[in-house]
Amino acid sequence: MDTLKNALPWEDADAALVGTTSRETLDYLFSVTYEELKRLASVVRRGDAQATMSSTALVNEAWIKLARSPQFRALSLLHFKRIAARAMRQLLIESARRRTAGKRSAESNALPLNEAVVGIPGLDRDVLALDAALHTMATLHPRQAFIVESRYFGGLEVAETAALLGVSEATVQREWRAAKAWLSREIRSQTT
Amino acid sequence: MTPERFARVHELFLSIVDLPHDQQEQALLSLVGDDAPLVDELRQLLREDAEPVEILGHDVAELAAGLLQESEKDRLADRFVGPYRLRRLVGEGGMGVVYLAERDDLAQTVAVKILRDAWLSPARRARFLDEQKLLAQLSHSSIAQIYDAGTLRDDVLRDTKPDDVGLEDGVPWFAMEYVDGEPLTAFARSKALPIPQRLKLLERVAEAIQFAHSRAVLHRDIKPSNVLATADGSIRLLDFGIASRLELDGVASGRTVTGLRMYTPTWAAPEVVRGESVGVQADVYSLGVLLYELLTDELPSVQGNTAAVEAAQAQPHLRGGTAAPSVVARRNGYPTGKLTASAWADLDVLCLSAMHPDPQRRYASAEALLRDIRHFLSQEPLEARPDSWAYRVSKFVRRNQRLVIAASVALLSILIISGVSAWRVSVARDLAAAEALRAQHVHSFLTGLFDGGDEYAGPAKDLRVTTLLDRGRRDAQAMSDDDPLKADLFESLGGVYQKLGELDDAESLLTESLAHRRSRLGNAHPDVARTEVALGLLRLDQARLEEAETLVQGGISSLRAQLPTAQTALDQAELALGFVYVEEGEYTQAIEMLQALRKRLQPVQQATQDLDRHAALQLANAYFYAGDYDASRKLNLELLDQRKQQFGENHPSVADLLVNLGAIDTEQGNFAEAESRYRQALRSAEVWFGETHPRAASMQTMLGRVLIKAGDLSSASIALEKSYGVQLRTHGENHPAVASALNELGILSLQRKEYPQAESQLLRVAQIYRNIHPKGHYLHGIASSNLGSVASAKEDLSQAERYFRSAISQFTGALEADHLNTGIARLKLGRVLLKQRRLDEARQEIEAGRAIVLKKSGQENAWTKAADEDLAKLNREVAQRR
Repeated sequence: MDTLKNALPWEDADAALVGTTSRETLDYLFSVTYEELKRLASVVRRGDAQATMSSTALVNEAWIKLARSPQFRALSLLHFKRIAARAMRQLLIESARRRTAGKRSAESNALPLNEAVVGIPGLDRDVLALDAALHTMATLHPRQAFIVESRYFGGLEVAETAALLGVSEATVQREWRAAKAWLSREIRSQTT
Repeated sequence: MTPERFARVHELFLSIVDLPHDQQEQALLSLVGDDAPLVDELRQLLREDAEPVEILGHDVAELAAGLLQESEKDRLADRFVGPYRLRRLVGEGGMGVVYLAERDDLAQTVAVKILRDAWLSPARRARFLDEQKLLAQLSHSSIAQIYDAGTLRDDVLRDTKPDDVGLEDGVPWFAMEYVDGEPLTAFARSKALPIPQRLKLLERVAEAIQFAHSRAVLHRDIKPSNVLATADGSIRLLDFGIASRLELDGVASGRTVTGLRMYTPTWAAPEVVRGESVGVQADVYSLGVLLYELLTDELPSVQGNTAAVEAAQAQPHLRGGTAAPSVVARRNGYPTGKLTASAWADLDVLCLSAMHPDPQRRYASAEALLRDIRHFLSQEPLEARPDSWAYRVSKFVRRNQRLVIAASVALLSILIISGVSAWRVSVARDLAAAEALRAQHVHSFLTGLFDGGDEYAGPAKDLRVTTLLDRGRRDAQAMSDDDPLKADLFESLGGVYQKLGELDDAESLLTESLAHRRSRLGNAHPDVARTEVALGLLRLDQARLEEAETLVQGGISSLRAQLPTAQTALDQAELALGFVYVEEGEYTQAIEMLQALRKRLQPVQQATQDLDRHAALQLANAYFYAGDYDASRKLNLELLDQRKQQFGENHPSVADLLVNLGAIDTEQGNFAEAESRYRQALRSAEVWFGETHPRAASMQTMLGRVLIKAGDLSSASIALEKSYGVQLRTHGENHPAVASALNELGILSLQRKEYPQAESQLLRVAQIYRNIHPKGHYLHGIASSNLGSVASAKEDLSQAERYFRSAISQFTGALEADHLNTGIARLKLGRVLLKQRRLDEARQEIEAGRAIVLKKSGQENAWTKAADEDLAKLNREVAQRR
């Protein structure tokens, strides 16, 4: 069965979380989650321009739908959030890439559907820079990259991230802070 | 930058960052003063910590909203989608955008709908296209015709600007008839149509839905925006099943749970909103809501309290207590015109029966609703009419009471037998039977029988078969013991309960009936025997096989003694015994008995036609289990032709035969054919019964089995998990259908090398079989054999040996020494022995197994080849030792 192949490598930790060594299973879960988040994000914004969307709500909503299906039943919410974080990251990156490609044609005066969002200038560029920086970070300090991905893209709380990694909350807090500073510098240097 | 340096930098950063600002620089210099680049870096990090870059401060969901915006709707004018050139945007809805488009080569104007929210993976694309093809064949004057479909990758977005990035790959689109009209409800309102005209419009909608259902297509998203009325008053239905087919149920129902606001789901049936089984009744519900709107110009809501409405925003209908249309109309001063009070009462029944929260209490089909609409328009009584005393006392029933009763008892007896034979492993909600039960004369019988002038309590719209039955039962119990009709009624009611799946009720009624008859008629009366047989069939359903056989044999011997008057009853009893034998695994006896029965019924007459068909079906099953696949196939194909002619392509009984043929194909290794048969059958079953019906679930199990054999493990897993869940919920642990699904799941786990899981699943299967079949049964062998395979895969050879030996003795005991299953088990044992280097024993088993397999399959196949390879290995071993 065809699945959207996750572009980033899965950690051994991920496999352990899901309780399987099958990459096929991880990819399948990823692919389904990806589609669902994408669908939700676009439906919400189209349905109500004033809707305030938080990533927590988005992920929870996706979980409610997906938890019913057989492949996800073995998964806990926490582990699902981890996959959702990865999916969300990929979603945004692909979207940013497409838009930067698309900007070569004549539609940059698009009317935004969500007024609240208008005015993050250079959004696409920043997101792509963040992604590149995360890639680098993953080679230097995988755990910090994991934390960033989980917290930033997946909306996981400190406690949840700590539970996933099996470390203390204090550790997560510290590493998150350090990671943010480093990423911030990377992004700034890439985009100025 | 190395990981070590990175870590060091961060360590240092963290030790400095919490210090008060004025101390940081000092600490920095004292810690790493000598490493200038490092100092720089840390300074930067500290600065970033104080003022990070903007993007890190945003919630990613905000980003999502920003990043996922598309404005391609402007870009798309003059683009091509497939052969269609898009002209202008004509609509935008919850799921996608609609363009007016042209096809130059055919000078055709169409509407092209692009479903932006539904990115499809390649597997789902194929499925989408298949389903669109099916929908394109739905040709009806009231259904907007589908012409074409695709996804925006297969049909490359052609454009004059080659480096433009088009819409995402995999976005589905379809081209359909362009309909220039407005939503039905708006149309009715703007033209201020009177009620009869509104009903005529709905009649056409119901016709179109009925047509679609007869082609096994559900709409699943009926709402005003999908039901357009054109200026000349004709109807077009749009968007058949799009939501469901793409599994966008969140969109269709607009459910909001976590506070993400989507639109309210007023037209979706409660079971759809809850995500449960969806059958034809879901569409009936939506039609009901549409009718409600047409009658009242309002949407149904919780009565009164608007705050409660807000609170129950998503699911007002689940609260019950929806205000009846007549009430709303009266409240608003009858904006849609005045009718008589009795007409409004009928409209209430019509509408609320269609909209009942419980799908089993609604009109069972669009056709049933349609009939009542037509009854209303012709000023005839509705079929779903409440049974007020005056209504019950119809002249017809009065005059023909005896006739009606006799006919109905006969009808119900036949229904019992034929009903049971049509399904063996699951609770049935056989639509056809339910419809028949609501047919006028049975209805009259049940009501006419209690024509004693009592007032029946209960709301007017609360009239379904189960209610009637409960009332009938109470009244029957109140009947005098001398009344011969009492036992008849118990038996008939028992059968009806059984068909509706209420086995406990069926049991108490049948046992009461039996006791009653025995006391009145003595043991040697045909009626007593008939009830014994009926009770025996119930035991069969409950998987209590020994009792079943005892009861049926008892009935038979009693009836034999009363020939020739009891011939028909005897025939039926022998058919019942055929069922019992098959369940018990006594296939030779079953075959003998059923062949004899069929022979006796020749030449087949009108009266015995059904009996012969059921015997033929059961005989085909017996052949199958006994391993005589050719005979089974032949018989099944005959029956398939007959049934297709009689019932049409999509009837559940046709589906059953497709399943049988699929099973034969599976056993003979024709996996592709098997899969296609099963999918066909599954489609019909899901439409008629809903996806979570045990009958559909059994088919999922068989589909899963063939998918495993064909190697498509992920699809198999999905099918099997689904069916296992349904079967477990319906029957509880100890039931063959549950064991069957679990067995396949175990095999699947084995294929995936998840040995502990496979073992625990298969051990449970073995336990279930032991609970159901305490005596020897071939299924015990299957369970042992599968456990052996797991042990073998784990390389636990002594355990594997034990299991295979068990399997062999179980097969030999229950089937025959040279049954295919026995042969295969011996081959497996042989292989294990070979691995253990017990060469002589291995040779014995492999050669014996091979011979059996060859004999039974009639030709060389994968098994015999594997046996040959093993023998070759064995010979090499022997040669080496010398």
